[in-house]
Amino acid sequence: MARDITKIILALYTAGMVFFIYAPIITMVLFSFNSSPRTVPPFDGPSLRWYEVLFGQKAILLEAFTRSIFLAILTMLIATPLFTIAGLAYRRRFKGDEFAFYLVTIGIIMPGITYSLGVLIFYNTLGIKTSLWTGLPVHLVWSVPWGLILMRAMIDPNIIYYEEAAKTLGASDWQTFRRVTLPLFMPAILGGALFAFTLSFTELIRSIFIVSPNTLPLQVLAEVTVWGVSPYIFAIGSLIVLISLALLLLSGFLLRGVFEKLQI
Amino acid sequence: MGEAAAPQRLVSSYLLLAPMLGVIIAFLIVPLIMVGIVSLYRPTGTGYVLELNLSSYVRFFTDPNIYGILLSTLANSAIVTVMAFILAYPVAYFLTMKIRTFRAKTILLIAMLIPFWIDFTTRALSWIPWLGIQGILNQVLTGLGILREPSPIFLFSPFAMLLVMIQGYTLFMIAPIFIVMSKIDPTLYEAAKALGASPLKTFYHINLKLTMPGIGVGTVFVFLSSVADFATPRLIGGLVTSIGQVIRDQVVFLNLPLASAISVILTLIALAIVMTVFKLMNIRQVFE
Repeated sequence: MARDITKIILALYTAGMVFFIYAPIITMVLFSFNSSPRTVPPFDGPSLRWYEVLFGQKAILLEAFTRSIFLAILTMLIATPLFTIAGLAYRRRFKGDEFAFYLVTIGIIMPGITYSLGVLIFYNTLGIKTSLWTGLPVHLVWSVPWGLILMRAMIDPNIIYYEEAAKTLGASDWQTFRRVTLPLFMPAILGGALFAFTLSFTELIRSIFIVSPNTLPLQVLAEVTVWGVSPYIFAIGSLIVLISLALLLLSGFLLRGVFEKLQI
Repeated sequence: MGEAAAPQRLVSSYLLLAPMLGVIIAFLIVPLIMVGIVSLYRPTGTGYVLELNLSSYVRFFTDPNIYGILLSTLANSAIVTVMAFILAYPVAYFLTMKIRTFRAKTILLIAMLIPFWIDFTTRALSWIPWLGIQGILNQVLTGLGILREPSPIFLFSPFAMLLVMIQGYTLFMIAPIFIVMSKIDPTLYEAAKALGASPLKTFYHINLKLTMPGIGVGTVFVFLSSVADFATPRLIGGLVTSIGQVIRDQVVFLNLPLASAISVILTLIALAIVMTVFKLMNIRQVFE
């Protein structure tokens, strides 16, 4: 009986947390369809007015959105081979393996603002002018460690024996890699790739000094600082939610293997 | 598996690491070293001259507008971290211990992780319909008679900033605790029960003690994210200034040595916290 009560209390608590997480997102989407400029209740009836503003006079936000998508795809395409190849090294122990791992995780541990400042000084020193491209190495440094962590979590202690077995049975190096090694790492590779996209797409602090013209989070910050909050900000927010949900469904599907591996 | 093959394998391990380490060293380690060096240069008002001195550090420790803001940022981050832990632990416990099927667990965990896929600026702004003077929170509280009239303290205030950070960062706490708790051997609970331990004792000795590494990872992520976050205070924190904003302002004023000196101190504090947590809570096992 006591157990049931605990379970009910915990279930209600968890439901409360889900509400806490979702409620603002839902109201933001709702108020993006408001027909008046109000950002607080009452809701004045549905309209697409703010989406027209977004696609019309505030197209600057959509341009920033396109830039963010471009940078995120680029980050994903380059980060994925980097952490995949590096992750393969961790199939065996080698001298300095932990040191190299910690060196890479500095990218996560370092406060974003310190790191962004460092890269600004680095670019200044080399005389490199900031552009969208100058954001790429920074987003790589931010996303590659997460991919590497996933790769290490996926390592099967027996993987080298599977590879030996494949070779003993006459498989070529490439066949062994393609048929044995790669499938075992696939969930981590896909998960890390999606992580890389998301981390790049949502990153604000690490872009602040070193990306121009603005990516979407930077542009939203600039808009709100100058103009305050208006429902068109909610409209672009709702578009982000839409894309995020699509990505989320995809990653939930792809990351299943990682959860299974962790025996959750 | 012969001995002779070993050296060749070592070389190939380093070759596999080389591209990633190349990027990390060129674009992470070198810039961080540069921050350290520039923090020692002398600022001139429009830039800096290559002349070693400690004036930026002296400025940091004598200007209450700088060290004071760092202290308040650290205090706010500590509040966020503790609140995130309090909110996250029962959720992680519920997901691990009370939900039986793998599918339900995965769906619930992913549902919890949704905000991670939405950028923090958008998430902060999404609270505006709730927190404003005519917002939902005020309407509910006045409707229930808890408040006599709408209060302005919910938006553009320390309250709003802490709320948004707690909401956003709690999931950094849920996920690692959940993963570590899921790895606990279920026979331990049976053993505890068979030996007559009370539910509270079982919880303390098995759940809480064995999830320390997960709590450690969560603490590090939540704390570091909060310390570095200048956007939330700026967007929704009203008069609250964060140390990140101070650094940003110094960059705008072209005082890179001072910005660097503040960053160096911030980073040393962050690293000290990470090292302490790593030591206190055997964190490495999370990654294994």
